Amino acid sequence: MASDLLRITGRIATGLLTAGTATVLVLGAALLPPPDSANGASGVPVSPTAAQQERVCAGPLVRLGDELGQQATEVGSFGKPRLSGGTIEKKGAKVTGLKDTDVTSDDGGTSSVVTAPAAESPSTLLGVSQAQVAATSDAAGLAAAECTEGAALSWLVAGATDTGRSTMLLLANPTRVPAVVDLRLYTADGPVLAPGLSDIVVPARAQRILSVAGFAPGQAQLAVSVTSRGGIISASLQQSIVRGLEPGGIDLVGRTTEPALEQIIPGVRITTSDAAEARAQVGGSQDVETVLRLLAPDANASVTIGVTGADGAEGTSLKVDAHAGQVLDVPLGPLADGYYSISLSSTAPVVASARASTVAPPAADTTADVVFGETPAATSDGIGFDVVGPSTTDSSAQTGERIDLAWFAAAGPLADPAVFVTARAASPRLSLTNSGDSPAAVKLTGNGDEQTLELAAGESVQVKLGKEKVYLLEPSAPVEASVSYAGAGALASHPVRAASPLAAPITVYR
Amino acid sequence: MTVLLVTHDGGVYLDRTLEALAAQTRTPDRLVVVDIGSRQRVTELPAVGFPVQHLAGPPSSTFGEAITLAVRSLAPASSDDQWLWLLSADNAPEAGALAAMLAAVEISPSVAVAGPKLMQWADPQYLYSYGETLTPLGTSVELAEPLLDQAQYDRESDVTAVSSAGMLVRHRLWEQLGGFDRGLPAMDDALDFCIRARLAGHRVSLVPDARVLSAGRRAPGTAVIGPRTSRAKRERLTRTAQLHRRLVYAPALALPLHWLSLLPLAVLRALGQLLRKQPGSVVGEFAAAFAVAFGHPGRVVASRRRLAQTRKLSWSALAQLRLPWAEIRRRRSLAREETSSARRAGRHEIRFVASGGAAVVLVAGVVGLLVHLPLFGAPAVAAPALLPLNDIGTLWSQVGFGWRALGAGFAGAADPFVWVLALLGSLTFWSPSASIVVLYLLALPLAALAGWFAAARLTASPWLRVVAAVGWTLAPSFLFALDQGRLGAIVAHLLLPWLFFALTTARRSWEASAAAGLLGAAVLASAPSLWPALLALWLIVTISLAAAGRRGRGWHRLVPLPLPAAVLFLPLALQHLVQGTPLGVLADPGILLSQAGTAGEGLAAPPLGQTLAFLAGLPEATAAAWSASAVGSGLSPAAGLALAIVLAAPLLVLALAAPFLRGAPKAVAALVVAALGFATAVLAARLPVASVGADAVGPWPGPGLSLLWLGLLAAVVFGLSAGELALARVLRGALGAVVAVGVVAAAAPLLVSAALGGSHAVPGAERTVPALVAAQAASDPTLGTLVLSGEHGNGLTAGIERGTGAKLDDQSTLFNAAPADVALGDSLAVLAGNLASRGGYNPVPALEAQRIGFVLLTPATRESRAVHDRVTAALDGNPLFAPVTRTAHGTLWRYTGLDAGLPTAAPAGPDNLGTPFGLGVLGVQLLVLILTLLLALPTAGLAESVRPEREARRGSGVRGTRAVAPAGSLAASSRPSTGAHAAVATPGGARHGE
Repeated sequence: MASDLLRITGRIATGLLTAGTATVLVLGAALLPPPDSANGASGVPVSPTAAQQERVCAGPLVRLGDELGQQATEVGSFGKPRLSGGTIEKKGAKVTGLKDTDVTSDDGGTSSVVTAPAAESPSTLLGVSQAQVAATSDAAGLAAAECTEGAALSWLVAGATDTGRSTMLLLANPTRVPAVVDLRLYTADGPVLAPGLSDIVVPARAQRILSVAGFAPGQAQLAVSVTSRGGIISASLQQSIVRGLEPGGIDLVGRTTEPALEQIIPGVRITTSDAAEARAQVGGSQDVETVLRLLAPDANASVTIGVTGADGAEGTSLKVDAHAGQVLDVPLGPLADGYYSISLSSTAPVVASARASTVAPPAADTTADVVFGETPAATSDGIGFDVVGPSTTDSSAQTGERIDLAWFAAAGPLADPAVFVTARAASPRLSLTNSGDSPAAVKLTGNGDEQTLELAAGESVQVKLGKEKVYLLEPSAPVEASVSYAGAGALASHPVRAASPLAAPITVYR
Repeated sequence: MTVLLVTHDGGVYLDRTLEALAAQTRTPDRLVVVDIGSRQRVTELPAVGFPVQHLAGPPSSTFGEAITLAVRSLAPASSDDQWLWLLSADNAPEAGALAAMLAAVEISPSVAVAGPKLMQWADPQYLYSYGETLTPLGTSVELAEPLLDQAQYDRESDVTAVSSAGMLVRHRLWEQLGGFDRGLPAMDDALDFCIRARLAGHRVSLVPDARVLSAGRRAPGTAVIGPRTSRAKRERLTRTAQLHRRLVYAPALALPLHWLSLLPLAVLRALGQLLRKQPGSVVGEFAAAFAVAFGHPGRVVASRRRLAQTRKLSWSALAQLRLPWAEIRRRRSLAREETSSARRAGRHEIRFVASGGAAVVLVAGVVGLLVHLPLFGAPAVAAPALLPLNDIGTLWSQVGFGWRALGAGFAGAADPFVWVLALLGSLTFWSPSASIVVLYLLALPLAALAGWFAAARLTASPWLRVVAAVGWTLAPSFLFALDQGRLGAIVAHLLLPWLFFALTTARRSWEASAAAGLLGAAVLASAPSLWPALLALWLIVTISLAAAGRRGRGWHRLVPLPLPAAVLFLPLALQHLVQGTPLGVLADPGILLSQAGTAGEGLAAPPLGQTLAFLAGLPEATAAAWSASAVGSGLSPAAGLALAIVLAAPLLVLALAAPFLRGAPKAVAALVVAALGFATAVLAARLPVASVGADAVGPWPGPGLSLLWLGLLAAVVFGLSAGELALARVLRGALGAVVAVGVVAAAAPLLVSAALGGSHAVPGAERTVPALVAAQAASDPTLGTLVLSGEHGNGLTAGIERGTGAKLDDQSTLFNAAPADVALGDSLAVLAGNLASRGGYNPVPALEAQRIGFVLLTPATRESRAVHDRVTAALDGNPLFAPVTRTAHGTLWRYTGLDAGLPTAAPAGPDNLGTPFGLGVLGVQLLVLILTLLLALPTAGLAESVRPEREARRGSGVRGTRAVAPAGSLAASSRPSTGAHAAVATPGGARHGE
């Protein structure tokens, strides 16, 4: 009996001991600190060997048909652009022509690729830009653009194909591998479904030119996205306007930033605002007014637009709703002369760019009907908003007015040193916007001197630049920058872009 | 008539013998006592009524030398009638023994040697020895069996030989033949003497009326052979004697052949000892062969000369006296019967079919077939962690130390898992990958078989055996391993029950111990994460058994258990140490899966959730597969986990309750095993030992959970099988049913979703690269494909696969544990990084050096899209690469230089037989494995039937546990003499000094 009791007690003790040990074990496992998950595997960081720098210039302006309008189904180029480029250390670089396969007649100009050895430091970064002033009967104005590297995906938010407006798409392939391009066209009614938009082959070291009117005729609002596989494409868009018999401006537009929830368009330069406003009332000249073109490619977006003038003066603030795939032109109202920075905040990714025009009175040696006997103001060559147009109170047009349009593309934040070159065009100005929350100090080197600009949060500044000079921007915090040119009947702009990220270091694991 | 008595620490035996001599009816003329004792010398001898001479000899003397010493002290034989009676200290003669022997030799003058009946000291009615003879092949055998003496051998008179104990021999003959052969110190000395006597023309005869006692194995003997001589040494002495006699008796022409055959025969016999499960005798075989071949030449020559001098008859004179083959066969069949009935003591009967085992296996087979039906007829299985196998030749050339074609290629030791793969692949040697398909189809029934047999050792209740088998088959870690294709965990789960099945009898038999060693090696090769747990278990068990004294008898059979596993792992462990990744040896073999990829949670799973999941046997905390299946599609991960715990609760509760019931120690032992498994799983989930891509991974917790599951099931079985009352039986049934239902319910969603096609293990092909590459590789098997894979963050994984893609036996933990810069080497990392970018790098030298003709970019996942697009853009824009196609394996580019042919050969190195080190490693591994296999083969019965162990029938002279009849043991006699044995000894008995 006693031994039974002893045995039972022993068993109970064993059982309790086991249960206790098990509990301790489980609790210990549960309370054990989790491993340091930040310790991933070790990899080998590889910095790719830098390739030579390449910038693709779109080449001379093109039109369908020749000077007399003959052969209207064929593309011809006219004039030769002036290329300016180089590095901070050395001006000038090697230019190699590309084959313009679609151009049947030209004046000797071709698209080209400008090369320089790999950049080891910011002072060896290459910048190239081109400018061409057109002065024909159906194309007049300044078309200046930066020559850029290619991108696998380019968004060109510009163009129109209604009566008198022609838009040409220039696809340049500087690589040695043929590129296969897919286009997606968006209009005010939504995306365009048309044959021939995909699998466009651009041969190696060649440029193809397509007329957008062939895909989407009669559209006043357009946006294009260009995707390339194989060789990467440098895409540009050329828009020219003819109103009746008068040329209404020409512009060469590069790519804008990719769809995002926030977009900044720095430095929209308004000149001759009264003249432009007056001209915009005239029938057929609605596209003289300043608009913001918006596209939400994939999803409906509700966009808040803020227009800020120089000196931080609060401009207008608008709220619009954009439908997916439909290009929307938002008139920005009469803006006084000056530089404006437009910021967008959206609920879904959008792409944007702004269009402005300059209206100059007819050239002094042309006799034009002057409705109001005002003396035409003196036109100087490019002091920016010094140009004063005739004060008109009547909304009738003046024949012979020189009108030019310019598309201001959105600029991405520049965190790393970037180089740009001013083209040979009137009155180059640099506009810097600090859209971040903290002050930024930007060092600008070029044209023989060096200056540091302090920007507070939200502030914009403008800097006067020399023509055909190489400048280096070194920001301490991300800023947005663009360069604009304005003269009598001449307006153009291009944003300052950072170098392509395809050569960034990558970590290789086993 | 002189009695020559040799004593070596004779003790009480000597006293009794002297008494018996004094009581002889025919008193001897004199007695010569030769004292060759080492621990105690005889100081005083009792008065026996005839002259006693006391000689002291060197303690290391043999019996023959002692007798020779005694004879030398006598006057030389003057007539033929002078006899010598040779006795040892334990040969106490019956009163009429001497008279009977002398009477017998008197009437037969031709008899020169006579021998009495030797009876067992402890039980004088039982025979010990009565005559010896030879088999036709020369082995010495005893003539009489140790049975009750019923005069069954009394008709035997002429024999080949008699034992040296109690031998009566003519003095003159002794001098003529020169006494016993010096080369036979212990065994066969009298046999050889009698043979020489026979060949000299004399007769050797038995005297049935003379009885002399003998203590057999417990006899004090001499310094060479005595009560403390181990069985192995006895076997060695017997074998040495046999070989010596063979060399002495062989005709001169055959002598060189016999000498040369000594060593080869020793090897064969050593193998035979392994088959007979007597590994301790292996050394003795070699020792005997060496001793006779190199240690005895002088003696052999001297013996041969002596034999030649005294031989008058030819060897055919002995032919009639040898044991005929019919008699030999009869004796062997008797021995076979005896041993086979002795081996089955003390276990539960298995009764596979009657006890429900066959039914469980059948049902499991049907379920397994249903679940894996799509795999039927597929050439290989494709799963996240599975790859096809190489062809059989390449498979076997991967084991050991050789060239591993991973990354840039290196020379290294293979994982021991490659042995398992090679053996598995050899089952279907025409297409090794098909063996994995077969394994999948048979996985569930094999698991049921293993679980049932292990449970059959633990309990006799059929219902509990079935419950344990069901629990083992449906273990969550097993089902997850099948789903993800973790072959190592699958094999470990299938073999663990067999390991414990063998361990339960490992103490008792070498067969089971060797089998456990091999199974342990296989389990550890498949799941190295179990090393700490199994090693700890082995240490605990062996040390506690060794310290337990008599109750831990047989612990020495557990000592060599880790040897096969250690031999397999040692080269790999050394290389890991040299490489600086000591924990890498614990990494899972084969392909590693990033745990984030399969379960959605990386190493940083919340500890509480993970612990609870482990308790339910689930290797992954989210149990995504579990809760996403048909039943739980609406369950959140937390609710799914809670449900899994509830279903596993009966098992856990019963396992913890088992120590409260009868059979507590066994249940506690099972819970210790379970705790070790749990600890292994917890640590495995927290210890990064290798890396895959950008993630550091540890071993998969599955095998640890299998061990946990084993412990829990064993504890439940132990707990429920206690008790014989009707109530206990009912409870057993009910609770067992509850456990079984819980396990089945927890496993059902996994099985159902797998049967409906949701399993990750799908039929695959024997290639893992696009068909174009495989076609090119058919003509050029060393052609390499650079495989790039995007990682989250800004990372890229690079690897080279040759031929038709990576194979499972190519993988190596050395590679997986090495840091990326060591594994990839400079050129490969730079090549991959630059191919993924646009730049000015010229990849041609690197591509040609590695013989790369294709680049394959695996399909993008959500995290790796950025890198994937970057690599696609870069390669599309590279004029050296032409995009080929986009397949399920990924996007393929072809190196344009392939048209011109790649000039250099791929980096290669020696295979596993190419380097001396590799040969050595392979040789040692093969040697240990084959020897263990021989030991493990169930041939004990076979060997017993062929050659029944001679001495097994020869007890130690003492049957059963009966003590030596005179009071006091041998050990007691070495203490100072007290009155303890005064009662036995006659007054004035020999007093022994220290």
